[in-house]
Amino acid sequence: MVIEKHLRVIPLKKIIGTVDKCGELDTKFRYIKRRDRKERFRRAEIHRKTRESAFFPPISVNLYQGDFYVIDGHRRVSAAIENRLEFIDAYVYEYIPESDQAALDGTLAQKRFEVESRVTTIQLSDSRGFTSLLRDLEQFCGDTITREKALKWKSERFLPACRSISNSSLAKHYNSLLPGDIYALIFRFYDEYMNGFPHYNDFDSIISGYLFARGFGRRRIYRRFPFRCIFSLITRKTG
Amino acid sequence: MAKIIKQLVLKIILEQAIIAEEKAFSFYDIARQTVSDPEVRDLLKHLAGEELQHRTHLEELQNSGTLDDMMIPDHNDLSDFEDTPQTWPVITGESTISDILSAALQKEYRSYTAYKRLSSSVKNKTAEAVFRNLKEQEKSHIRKIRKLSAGRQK
Repeated sequence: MVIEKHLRVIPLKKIIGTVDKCGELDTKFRYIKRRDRKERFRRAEIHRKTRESAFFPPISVNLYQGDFYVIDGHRRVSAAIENRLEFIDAYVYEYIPESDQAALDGTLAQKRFEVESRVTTIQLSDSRGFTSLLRDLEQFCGDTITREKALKWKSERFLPACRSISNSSLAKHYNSLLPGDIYALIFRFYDEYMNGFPHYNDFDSIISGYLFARGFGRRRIYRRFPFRCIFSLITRKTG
Repeated sequence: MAKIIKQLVLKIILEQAIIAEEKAFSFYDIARQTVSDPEVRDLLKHLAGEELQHRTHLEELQNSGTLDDMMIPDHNDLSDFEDTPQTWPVITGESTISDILSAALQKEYRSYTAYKRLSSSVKNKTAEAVFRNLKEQEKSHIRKIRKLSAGRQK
């Protein structure tokens, strides 16, 4: 099944192949056999335009198992590589085998999130997490989701929380996941118990609660030896 | 120096309250996994969630840096946070729903009493508001547990 993911910015290093020009291109996406004047001219024009403005029409790519394969725009990719660009605009079509239900669920969840929020810049290693993000976004926005509210959610809630997650011990426990994935995990946990995040002032306390509930918490400082004794002394004090 | 020591004592006291909430969460979480009645399970899950929320609020208060003018509670006001063997029964496969609800009710009464005392003794606006809110939530827990227990007895 092929799912259209619309226009997005993709990392150039993830473009690893071509859909229909196998054997015709070298590793820098230049035609091996077509070195005639017409080809040289076309390539030179694209390279010149890239150097001048770094802007050209988006390419079209297939996304399969996390890597991109070029459908249309090989010369543009070649020009981008030569000019050492890191990212490129692309129309992405994701190919998912019909037997891969998890990938299908994830892609549909991502698409639903992006259509509702019109935010396409969030990356998760497990796209099924987008279901949780969408639910969090719905709770944040209230009645209707607009792009402005979604951007506000992203800047005021999601990104600061991801920074807290990166600085916490959670990143060590879930080292194969991106901070966004861990955020989705935490949200799903709190959603199960209390229909979403409780009101909080500091996301670190949300992380702390999650660490405790999951049994990942380390011994807290005020429970260590000298502090425990102090509490015993306080409660034994006579009037 | 005295101010630092006072801050430290207050944080230690709040830590005891956090421990109490953690134990409550663990009790409710284990209990909800052992009961089959969906209504009871939903209530226990809801109570577990709220205890976790209490923990969050107490931790934020502990880290808030607004404890300067907070009074250290009298040792009598802290007795509800002392851990005793009778505080939490162990949930086994033979624990009945009545046992669980009865233990939950006792726990909620203790918490309600503790936060009621603390809210009147600490003399710090932020802490008072937190303890008052926790007191009201524990009170609502008592109502819900009683209502469920009464409904099951009919």
